[in-house]
Amino acid sequence: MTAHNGNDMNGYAEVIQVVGAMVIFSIILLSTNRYMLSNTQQQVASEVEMLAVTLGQDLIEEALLRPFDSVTVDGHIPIQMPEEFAAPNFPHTTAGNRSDIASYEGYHGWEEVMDTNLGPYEISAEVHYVTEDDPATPTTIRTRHKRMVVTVTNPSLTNPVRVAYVRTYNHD
Amino acid sequence: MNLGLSMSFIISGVLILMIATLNLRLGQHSSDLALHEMSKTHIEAVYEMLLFDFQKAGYDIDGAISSPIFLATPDTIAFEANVEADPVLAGNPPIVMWGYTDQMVPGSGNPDHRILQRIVSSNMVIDTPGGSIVTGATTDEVTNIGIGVTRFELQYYTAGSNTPMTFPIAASDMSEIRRIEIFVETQPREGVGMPGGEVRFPASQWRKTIVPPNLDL
Repeated sequence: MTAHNGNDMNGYAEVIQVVGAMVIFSIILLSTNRYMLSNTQQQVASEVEMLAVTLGQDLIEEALLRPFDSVTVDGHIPIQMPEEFAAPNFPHTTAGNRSDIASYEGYHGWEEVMDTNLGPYEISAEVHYVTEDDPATPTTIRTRHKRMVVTVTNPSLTNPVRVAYVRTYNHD
Repeated sequence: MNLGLSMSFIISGVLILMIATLNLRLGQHSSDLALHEMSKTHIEAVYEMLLFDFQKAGYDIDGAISSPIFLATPDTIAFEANVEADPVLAGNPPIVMWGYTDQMVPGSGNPDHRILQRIVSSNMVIDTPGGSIVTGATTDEVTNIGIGVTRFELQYYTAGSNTPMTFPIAASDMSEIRRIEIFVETQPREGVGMPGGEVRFPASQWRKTIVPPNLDL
């Protein structure tokens, strides 16, 4: 009777060991799943980011084909530069269509949502004058340099993508 | 055999099955990552070529070409452009044609792979609006891109619209094209085997709207 009880105890001890092994393995399984999920998220994020950068670049490339300033739209070359350029703190565009924007600073305040198979992308643009000494900071004076910052967001992006370009008026 | 031992055998069996499944999933995951990287590399190679050509649509050394696009379908485009800025070809630029063909890619395990074709030729004459080549380009002038393109789609926009032009685009409207939107998808030649026998091909996509400067003049 005593020996029988001892065998039973031995059997249960093995069960406890195997259950312990299962718990340890489950922890490993969870962390492996987390690692794989994180990799997949990175994979998707890289696709989403690539398109976000492209959309930002598209807007900048399109803006670069527009005249530098509203006063140079018809090929007019200002005599007083930069005094003749548009006043700082550009008004937000009221254009309903990107193609209707006539000048570089006309993109200031542009916002649109683009639906793609990677979800909706919200694109917005800002244009400010900047100085040669500090091209990253907007200034409230007229200069020959304008900086466009395009911000692109997507529900799958943790942080928005920002693409910037400083354009200089070079017509001397 | 006592109950405890039997239970531990069963639990061990389940454990071994779980280890085997995890091993399989890890293998699939690694393959998936590697194949996705391969797709990305392929798409980068393709878009470098596309950008090189499309940006120069209508370009010639002596000045912009008037109405350079004469074929614009959802998967084929032909335009005049002196893409290499060759002085010998000034005034007589070659035709650049990009088209997604129905030809399968030899040796590919992906049934969706088709050849993307680039032709740059001064000898080529294209029947419009059909798009078939009447007088052929030489073999040297044809580049068959067989590195995994599964989708190649084109859309065209006029200057004042964000709505794509509807197909077929009339020959008289070709000169109105100002922007070209390109969508490309690549997939690897081999896929990742999934449970149930399904094969998954990790895709990479690229979309860009190009505003060729010489069309906007």
